[in-house]
Amino acid sequence: MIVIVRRRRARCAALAGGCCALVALAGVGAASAGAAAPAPSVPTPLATSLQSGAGTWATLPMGLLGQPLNTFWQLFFRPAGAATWSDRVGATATATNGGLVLASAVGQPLLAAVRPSNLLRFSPLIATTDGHAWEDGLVPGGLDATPGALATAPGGRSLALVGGGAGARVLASAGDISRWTTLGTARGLAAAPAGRACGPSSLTAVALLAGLSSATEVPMVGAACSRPGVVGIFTIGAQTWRADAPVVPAALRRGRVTALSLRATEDGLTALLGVENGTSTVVVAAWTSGDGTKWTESPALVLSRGAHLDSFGPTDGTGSFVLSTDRGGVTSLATIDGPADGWGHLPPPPRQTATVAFDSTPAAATVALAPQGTTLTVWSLAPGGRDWTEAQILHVALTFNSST
Amino acid sequence: MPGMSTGLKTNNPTIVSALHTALLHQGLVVLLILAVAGITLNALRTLQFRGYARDAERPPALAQPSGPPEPAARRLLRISFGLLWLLDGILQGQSSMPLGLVPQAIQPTAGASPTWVQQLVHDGTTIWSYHPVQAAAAAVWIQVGIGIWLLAVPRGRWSRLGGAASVGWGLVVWVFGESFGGVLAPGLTWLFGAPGAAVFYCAAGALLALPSRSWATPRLGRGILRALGLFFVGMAVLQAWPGRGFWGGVTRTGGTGTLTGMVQQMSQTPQPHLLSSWVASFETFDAAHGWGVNLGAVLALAVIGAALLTARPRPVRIGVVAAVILCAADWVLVEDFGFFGGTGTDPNSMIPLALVCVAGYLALTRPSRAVADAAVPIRVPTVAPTWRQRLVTNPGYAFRFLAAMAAIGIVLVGAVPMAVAAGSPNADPILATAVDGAPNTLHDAAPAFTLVDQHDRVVSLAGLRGKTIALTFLDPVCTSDCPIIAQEFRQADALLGAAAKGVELVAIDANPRYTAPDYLVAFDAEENLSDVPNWLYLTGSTAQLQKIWDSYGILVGYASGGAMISHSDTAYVINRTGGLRDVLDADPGSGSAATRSSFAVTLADTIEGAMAGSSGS
Repeated sequence: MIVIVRRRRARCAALAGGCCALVALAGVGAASAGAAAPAPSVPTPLATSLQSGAGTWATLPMGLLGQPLNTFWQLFFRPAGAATWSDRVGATATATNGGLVLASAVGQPLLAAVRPSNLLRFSPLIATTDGHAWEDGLVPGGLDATPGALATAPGGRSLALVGGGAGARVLASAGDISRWTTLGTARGLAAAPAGRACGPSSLTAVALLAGLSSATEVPMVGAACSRPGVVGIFTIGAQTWRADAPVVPAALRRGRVTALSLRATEDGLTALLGVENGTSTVVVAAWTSGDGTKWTESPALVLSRGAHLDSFGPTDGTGSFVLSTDRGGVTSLATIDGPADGWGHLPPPPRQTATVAFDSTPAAATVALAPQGTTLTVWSLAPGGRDWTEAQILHVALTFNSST
Repeated sequence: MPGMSTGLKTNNPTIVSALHTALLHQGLVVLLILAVAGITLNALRTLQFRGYARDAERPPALAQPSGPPEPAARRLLRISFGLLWLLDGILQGQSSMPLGLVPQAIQPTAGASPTWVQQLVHDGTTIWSYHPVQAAAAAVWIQVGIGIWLLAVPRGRWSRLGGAASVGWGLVVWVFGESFGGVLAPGLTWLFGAPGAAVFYCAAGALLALPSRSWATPRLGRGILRALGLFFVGMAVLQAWPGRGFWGGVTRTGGTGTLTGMVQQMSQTPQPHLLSSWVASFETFDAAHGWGVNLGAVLALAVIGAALLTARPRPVRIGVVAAVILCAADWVLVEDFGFFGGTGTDPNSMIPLALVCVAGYLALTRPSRAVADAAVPIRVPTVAPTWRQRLVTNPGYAFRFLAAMAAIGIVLVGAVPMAVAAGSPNADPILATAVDGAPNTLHDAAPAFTLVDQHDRVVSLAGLRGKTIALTFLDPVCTSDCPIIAQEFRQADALLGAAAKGVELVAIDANPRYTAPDYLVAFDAEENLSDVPNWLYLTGSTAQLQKIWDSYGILVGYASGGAMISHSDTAYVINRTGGLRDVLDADPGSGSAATRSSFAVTLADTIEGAMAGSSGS
């Protein structure tokens, strides 16, 4: 009897063991499927607009936006004083699936860099002063996916962010847009005392701040900091980094801060900061008119819970706009003019609006650019107006499957 | 698993035709093997007859008994799995197997498995992707060979060896074809075929490989049934486990439940309407009564498992009948017979599982006493005959021996060409032919050009006289085809080995905007071409380039809406005397590792042909 009982126990143990093994196998599979991702920093959408001497430029995606290789970024241009827009993306002469990054400065041509996509690893770069004739250059690396990855200054110097993530590099050009040298690296910043306080997870923006004490501009680099409450804005020179950042309001010091954009103006530098505080995204504008040591911060622009940034960029001078869409698909457009102002809200732009464009002329209308498939609808909002009116429809001939 | 799909349609006529040709040629060899085996058998029988006629009384030492009858359980396994292997071999001959098996049947299972499984499967199936025709044909003959082996050789050492062969090939199929039956992927369930049909082929093969004495007592049957009982109980626990999507026909968010989704997918497989309507009806039923269906499955699996675990004839009989019914229902309503759709390689797991269950029952209830008796060594005073003596004196042994030899020969008909092909790191050139067609021969003088290279040095066609030239046209800011073509040129250069010293790889800029050497340098750096000594990337003014594009028939044009420059993907081979010898359509298609390698082999072969032709002239 004892022997029989033992045998039965052994069978039960074998049965239980077998079942446990099977369940463990299934559990392994289930566990691997549910791994949690780290909390993201504030995204930096590429759709934006800016003004150059020749007119207003805007870049946005069109086509089948769910398919990266059938998403084609366009370059729309409205000459100064004109009312209608036209597409100038043909000047890039390459596939724009990865996006376009624009930069301009007073008296300087517009720079448009093509972000790498598919098998392309570097960024063709073109420049124009009038929107018709183009000069060619290249950035010897893949330009980062942030609208602040390219900057130029009145003197002709330019900066570019390439590589992305921990391998990001800051490249500098003295004027020839095909010749670049490395000014600094993300690893260098992370190792520097100034960078350690920030814990940069990525470099996000560059700008050339007109120097007060010297004739040459000061290169500035923005970063997304992994340490809460720390703003990552640095000046870089000869492989040395110095933190020159504003302080975020006390209520936001638990959030991770991303320098969304840095923009040199005639008066100094305008920065847009995105703060992810876990439940919502907050945008703060900051200005410095000096050497980067004294800053003025705007009130916080709190996006509704679950809302995402669609676009941000300059309005005019020191002003900025922020376009966002909430969970319900309602688009909001907020603007701020300068250090002395607060955020104001324009009437909600039409659905599908990818970016908006402003004009330095006081009486000029604000424009919303709303693409859908191969059609771009241009909406116009008169100064002080309440309703957006359809101003223009453009049909863009996209060559689907040409990048596959 | 990027790089595995060739991007070709599975019914590509070039590949299908090549498969049919390979099967026809190899089929003739198989017929020859069978004919030789038949003639040899006939000759041996003649010898045996003459021997009988010469010796009125046979010597006692050579008197061979016909042997004990084969146990019923073993016979069931041998014949049924022999037929299954034959069916599987025939299914492997379907037209879509060479190009469809990996992306449509193997990748989906492997894709859900852990990374190391994906890598292992990727490494194993690279051979298939690189040599799809040889691999598909090999799978046909290996499985047909094993099937014939099992069917034709009922007992003895050669029969057991057939079982071992079944285990070996079954393991290959289980690991590389079924990604370990998906047991390491999430969503493991008996209903979908876990732990993979090949496991049961292996189990059956292992049983067939056992010595005859193993079948003499009910012990083997008990072991089989208890193992199956444990398996069924484990599967019941897994099926009952909450949170795996089986307890509802639809999810809370309105999506389909796991089983409903699977059945829905199966119902969309190309198959006769009657069958798809059955599956679709079950899908509807499960969507409405998902909880009840799962409860039924859990209870059925648990009860069957418990019955088999008893290893007693009466409950086992009930359990086996229930298992066969459940397997048949699952086979029809969930697995959808398993072999439709063009890339079905076997009837899935339910049939082999049911067969092993029945075999276990037979082994328990009908052990072969005759085998047991025969297993007792009989002391014969004379010397045992050698295999040669048995061959000429024992007709049964001669048949088994020759049948096994013929089966091994059939397996080798598939395996040997595959092994030879697998020894090469390069893909079969037929893939490039399938993508772009075969190279065309030309007999014109190559249009002259003088341009600058990536280092600003002037280069002319006349200056390259004496070298064989592989010429193409590449856009330095191209995002898809041009980098792939450049890599194919680089691989072709490596394939040429020492002969590459006499070859120049030349690309001419095919973008009218980006004509500065800076772009060529950036492209070379991107594609690791900077250190290839015989690589020249040429450019010039747009007018110069346009003239050369025209002279070589290259169409270059701006495309609208943010698309890259469109241009012809063409490669020329120019011989040492400046004559255009071959033109290749260089469109790289999907640019998978297999097609890249295949195009490189084609280009290298064409260059070598041009070099040989030049030296001949």
